[in-house]
Amino acid sequence: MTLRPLDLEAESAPQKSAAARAATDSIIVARDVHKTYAGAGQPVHALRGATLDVARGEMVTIMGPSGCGKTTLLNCLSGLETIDQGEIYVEGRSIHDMPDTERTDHRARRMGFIFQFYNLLPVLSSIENVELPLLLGGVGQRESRERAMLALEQVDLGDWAGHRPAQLSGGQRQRVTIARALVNDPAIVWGDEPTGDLDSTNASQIMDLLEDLNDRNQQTFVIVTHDENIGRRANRTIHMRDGLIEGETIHRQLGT
Amino acid sequence: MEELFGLPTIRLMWIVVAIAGVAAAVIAFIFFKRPILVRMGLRNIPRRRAQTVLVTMGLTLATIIVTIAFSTGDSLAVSIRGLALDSLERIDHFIEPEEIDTSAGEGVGDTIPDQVLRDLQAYFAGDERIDAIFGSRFELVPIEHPEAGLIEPQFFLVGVDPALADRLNAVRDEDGDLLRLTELAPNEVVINEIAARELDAEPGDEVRLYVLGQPRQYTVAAIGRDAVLTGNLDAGAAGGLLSMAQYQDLLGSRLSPPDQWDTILVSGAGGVNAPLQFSDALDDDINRALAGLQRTKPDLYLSNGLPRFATDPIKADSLEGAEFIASAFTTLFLFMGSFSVAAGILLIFLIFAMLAEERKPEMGIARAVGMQRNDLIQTFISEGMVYNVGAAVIGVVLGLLFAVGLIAALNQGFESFGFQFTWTVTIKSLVISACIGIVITFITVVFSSFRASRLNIVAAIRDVPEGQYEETYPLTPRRVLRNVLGVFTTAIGIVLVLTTPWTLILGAPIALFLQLTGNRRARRLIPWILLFGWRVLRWNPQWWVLFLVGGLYLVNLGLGQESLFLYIAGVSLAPLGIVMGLNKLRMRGRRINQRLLYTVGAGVVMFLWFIPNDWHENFFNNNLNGGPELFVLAGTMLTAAGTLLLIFNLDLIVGAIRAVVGGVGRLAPVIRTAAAYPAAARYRTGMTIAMIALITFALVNFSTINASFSQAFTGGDTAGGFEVLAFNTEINETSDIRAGLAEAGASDVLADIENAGRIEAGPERGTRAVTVLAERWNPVSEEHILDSDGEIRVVEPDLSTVAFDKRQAVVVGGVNDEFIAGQEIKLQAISYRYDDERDVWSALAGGEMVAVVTVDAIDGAFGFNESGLDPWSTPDGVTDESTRLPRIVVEVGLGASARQVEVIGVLERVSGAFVDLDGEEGGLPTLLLPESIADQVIGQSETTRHYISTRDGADSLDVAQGIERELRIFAVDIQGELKRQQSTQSSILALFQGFIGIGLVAGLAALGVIALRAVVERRQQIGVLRAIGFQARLVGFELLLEMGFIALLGLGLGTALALGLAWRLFAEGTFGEIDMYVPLGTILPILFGAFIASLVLTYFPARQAARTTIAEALRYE
Repeated sequence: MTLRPLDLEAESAPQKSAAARAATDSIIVARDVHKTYAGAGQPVHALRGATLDVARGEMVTIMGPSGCGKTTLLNCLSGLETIDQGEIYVEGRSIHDMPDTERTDHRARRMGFIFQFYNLLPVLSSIENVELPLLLGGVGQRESRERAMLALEQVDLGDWAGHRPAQLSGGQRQRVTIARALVNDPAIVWGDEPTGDLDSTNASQIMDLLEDLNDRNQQTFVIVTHDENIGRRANRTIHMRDGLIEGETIHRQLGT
Repeated sequence: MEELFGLPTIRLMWIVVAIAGVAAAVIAFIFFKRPILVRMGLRNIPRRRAQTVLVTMGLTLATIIVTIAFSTGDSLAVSIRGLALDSLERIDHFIEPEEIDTSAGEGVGDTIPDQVLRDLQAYFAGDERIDAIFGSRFELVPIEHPEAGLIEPQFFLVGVDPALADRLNAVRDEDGDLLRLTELAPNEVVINEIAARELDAEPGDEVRLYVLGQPRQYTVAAIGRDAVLTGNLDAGAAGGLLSMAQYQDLLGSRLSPPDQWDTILVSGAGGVNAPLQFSDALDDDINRALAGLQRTKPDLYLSNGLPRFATDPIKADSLEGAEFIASAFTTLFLFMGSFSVAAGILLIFLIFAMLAEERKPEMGIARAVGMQRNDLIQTFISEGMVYNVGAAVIGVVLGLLFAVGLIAALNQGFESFGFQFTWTVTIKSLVISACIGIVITFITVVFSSFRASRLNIVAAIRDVPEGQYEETYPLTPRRVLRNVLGVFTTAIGIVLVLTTPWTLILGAPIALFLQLTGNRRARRLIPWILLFGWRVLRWNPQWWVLFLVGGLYLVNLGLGQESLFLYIAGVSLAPLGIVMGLNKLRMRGRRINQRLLYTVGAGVVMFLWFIPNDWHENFFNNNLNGGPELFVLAGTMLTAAGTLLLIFNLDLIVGAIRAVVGGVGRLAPVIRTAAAYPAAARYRTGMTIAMIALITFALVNFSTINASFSQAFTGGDTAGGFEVLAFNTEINETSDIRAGLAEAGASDVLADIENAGRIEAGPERGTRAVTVLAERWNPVSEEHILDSDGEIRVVEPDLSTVAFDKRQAVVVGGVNDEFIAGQEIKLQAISYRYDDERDVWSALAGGEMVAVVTVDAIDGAFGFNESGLDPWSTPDGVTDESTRLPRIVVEVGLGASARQVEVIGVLERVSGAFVDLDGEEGGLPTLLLPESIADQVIGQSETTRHYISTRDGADSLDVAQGIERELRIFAVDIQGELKRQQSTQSSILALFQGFIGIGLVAGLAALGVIALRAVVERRQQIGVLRAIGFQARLVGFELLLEMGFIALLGLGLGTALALGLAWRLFAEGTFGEIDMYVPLGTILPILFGAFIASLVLTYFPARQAARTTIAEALRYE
């Protein structure tokens, strides 16, 4: 396991054509991404030219100290946040060139999200939470219900389908979130501190589950975390500092 | 306005000022003792401006309603008082012939001999309180303005001594300037403002007065102000004035005998207002004078031993009437406004619950670092009082604006009566309105603050639902003892409060003050004050005991006082108390299923309201009576029960909706979440539904009941099959309208007449008395008159005769054959001896000794009531008991003209409305005979009424105008008149609906508040929804749908309850034979408008939700 600088052709001088070319090989391509927030008094440069590629089926973790821009990068990559400068290609398409409606639709069909505080809708049951993305994607009621049930069973929560989030433990809630993230068979799953609110045992179980899903389904996982134990379980860890990608650590090659 | 609810308004003002003063003292105390708490409360106000606006809006409601009610009352009092003073001017007392002498059994003269006037003048000669006692005459005389081609057949012509009128300055022109009657030329007449309008006449115009068909030319000398002396004897009556000599000259000695007066008028000394001070005393003296004269001159002053003349302090009575009308209107407005006030109170509760929810973490932290619950309450009260005072000021201003609009609208409604109200408000009313608003809001804020301050510190800091940290209390002996004592003191408190309202008024604020100051010694010193206030305002009040014990107490009180209001309030509260008590029970640590409890409780309350009143009465073998106050109670209780039923079963409703529309493509998740959020937030959803439902209930129920009445009495049936109604008077007799028109050469009018029905009516005053010889069912022979299928067979039963010898007054009318041929009047009941209505009318047409009567004749005039016998009772097995009459034979008339006739039909109230010859509510019953029989009984008829059916294609308005023009008798196009009445009623109805509808503001504001709150508290969830693929517009749409769903539930619930209750009331005959009519044309626009308004108000929060930035929302905690 070594920490090495990223060696990407577009790192020094990003060209749209090069980025586009790279996008055909990688599922996520980001070049010279800048994001600045208008903070109280002075602007905060959250991303100052972040560049990275993520291969299809890869599990990547993003690590770094608080405030280094990890979550901002994840939000920008997934299209939740707009960018000030640079390019981001997801599955070969420039996500920030899409109109909001199309970007939202793309998220519904091709992405899944896992958040630190679960962010389940408290008024819906587990299975209703899980089937939401499918219904949004226009899948019929019955099929949605069946697929949601399958997803819950995958995360060992088949018996808790009718329970509301308030009736579940933290670990169980995060499993529901995972089921929701995976139910529409997304190409990419984004995780923002998915184990941050869990104890070590639960955190380890959740990571086992994510690893297993990654192996089985060959879905791409991009996970922001503070936890080095979590980081080590990915194919690769990208290190960030002050809005820049400092380098990466490869833990295991994709496919091994 | 001087009185309200029997309480002088000045005293009411001081009471509310005192209570508002206590509220101010509480705030002042908090401010001086703990200014930090006040500052903490106040700093919240500018933080969320939209919320502050909504809060203030909700709090203004009570003040707006009360201000409108009081200002309207003031305006009516001043306007009607002004009208009465203008109309009576210098006239203070009337002395008139007694209208009816029923016991004497004979009609008495309806004029006053001149000797009576001279006697009274002599008796009061030198009395300094009296300026003049004088006689006047009046008669209905047709008047024509030939130049304008206009005729007014009903023109009250008055004759008075001109010198006397001038000495009294009694007649003024339309500008208020004095008119000198002594300066009138022999051929000059003064007409009043109404007559001038009707005839389009001005001073100098030539007019004709007709007496017995003969015209006499006069010149209009001046337009006199509408007043008694200028012939404004009824509201809106056209009239005029002649000098007494001219009057005598016109009418002649037969119609106006020179030694007779119609009325003796007394004018008090000192001007228009001064005599009011001694009005009662003077009236007593006039009565004393009449009593003395009765002793000395019984032949002149007595008739069959009874007084012939009576005095009436007309001016004082009119002013009392003005006061009564103003007070009645204010009460009516307060009644109807109470729905809005209740909705406003719910809104305050909701807003404070939301504020508390929003500030829960900071309140939890404050409590954790040492802030007392009292401190939290004081912070909330301080904040609430700022909203409160602001709202009171805004409320008064808005209330006054609404009142100005309302008076303008009322003026439009009354335009056709020629009367205008002037908007007025007194300082007293302003003070009362502002203080009542402040007091209601203060009390609500205090209760809301107590509720808001109840929080679990850990749950509050972590901002999680309270239920997760619910404390369990093991039942220690001390805790059991404390609860028993608590229940006991509460029960005593309730009894004390219900028996001595002052305990509530004084006790609650003082107890609150002591609670806030923490003065334990004072508490011990005056424990009685705390019985209610202290106990109820404790941290954990036993509301279920309050409901249960209070409910049972009210049931008992209601049964004792035969009060349906108290009884049904009690039976509504008691089940809810039981349910609330059971909800506290734990069996093996588990609660009883809440859905089950509240569904059953609410169901029981609704059941008790929807069963017929008889069931309650029969169950307790009691007679329960109620008034319009039940309307408010019904709305409150049914809405509360209905809301509970909905809220505890909302998941089922949501499930049903999802089953039906849940699969609507990509909208499925939107519908799902829109339905799920309201179901999950029971308190706020319930409060909002209740607010909307309460006002909807009031609007729909009020509209339905009024529209049903309006439909019944101004609908087409009311005309009884006739198109034109014309009246003769004694002075202008036209008994045969066809002959009259032929003689006048009006062949065009004549050609349009299909049937010329007629009723010759006897004198209404001094009507002949009636004796009833009634034959009733004999119980022994009951079975003999029934067929096997329960139908009545015409078998002469064995009848027993019951004779009542008491004579009652009725108005007797004789109907001609054309009337019978043209009428389409329904009969409410017919004699068992006749097969159907046609047989009844045929018997009348055949000149048999039979009669049909109005329903009040049966109930009131024939002596059944006094005898305790029920004319409607029929044998067992006859189910339709109200449609068959026993044999009732009545004796009509006296002496040689008396005839015995059998009553064979009862006129239905609606279709027979126009043949009710007295026509006034509570007036004399009508008895219709064949014309030939009536002639024998009443001799010379006093008036003839013509009931005309027109030919197909004829314009009934043209016919009515033609009759007026050619015969100079008053004629009306019935359908046109009904439409005019309908239009007046509709505009007044719309006014009241608008007033009730003000309360909808509360419901809509509540929707706005919870929508705004939803955007804040669900920000993270909105972020997630957006992240997983909810389009921005769907997020906004979801919120709109959610609020629309709540609005629909409220509107639907209110409508269903209102129609349900109306149906029950109509079905059980509360409103007589009137059928229920649902005015969809009124109700649907109201519901639709309210729904659209709810969406408009939610639009802005929805737009805000749609614009939420995803990443920011996800970061939000």
